[in-house]
Amino acid sequence: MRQPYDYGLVELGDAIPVRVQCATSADLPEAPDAAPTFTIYNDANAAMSAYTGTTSSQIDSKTGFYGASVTASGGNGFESGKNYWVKWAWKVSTADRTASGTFTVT
Amino acid sequence: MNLGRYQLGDTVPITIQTVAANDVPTDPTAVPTIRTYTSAGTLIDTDLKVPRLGVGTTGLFRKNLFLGSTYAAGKYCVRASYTVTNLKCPLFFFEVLPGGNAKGAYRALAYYDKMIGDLIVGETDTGELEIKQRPYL
Repeated sequence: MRQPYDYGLVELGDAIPVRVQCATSADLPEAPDAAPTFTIYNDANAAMSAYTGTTSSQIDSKTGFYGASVTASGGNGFESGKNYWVKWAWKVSTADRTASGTFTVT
Repeated sequence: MNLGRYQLGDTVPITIQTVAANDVPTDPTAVPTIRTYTSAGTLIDTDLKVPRLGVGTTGLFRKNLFLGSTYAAGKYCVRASYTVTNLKCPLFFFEVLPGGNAKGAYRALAYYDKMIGDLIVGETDTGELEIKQRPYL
């Protein structure tokens, strides 16, 4: 079973790179129909709509390897000492796939 | 998995337990390899092989990744690859904090009392020899 990614710590106001390896339930890397999207949730399980979006293009031409940069600033709704979840979503032949990760703002 | 925070000259232990689809430790068809990326997605290290950790440890591998001059303060992602029936690509994350030295620490030092002054010859983690002299010329 795939564990959530732990992206680590980021200081308030800094950017943190988030990454995902699109894969099947058996962890076999797979190419999504389109670049995955992600949504960030705060520790009250509320979606931070400012960071719902599409990621950059595939990294290093590696199948299903994508990423994005999140600026964890106060202006974007982030708070020091709080944990945040990144929920990734993509489709393969219209079937939904998800993965998740977490980071902490210090 | 997040591997923590380091400085230049440190080594990051990247440990990989290769498993089959049912999470049972299983040897891969070849040793795992890793690629390291900056926060901008730039490739730093290409397909470094990860040696087996110990004897009789099924599917357990570790690479001690030295943070030399190709690294700088910032956040990094390691993408590992191995094949057990199918390809698997776990991701690891670590951060390099400001400070440290890309040459690492001295792993050998020798003192020489010469006519021209006191000499200390040292070898760094990167294998470079450095000579320090007192008094300076």
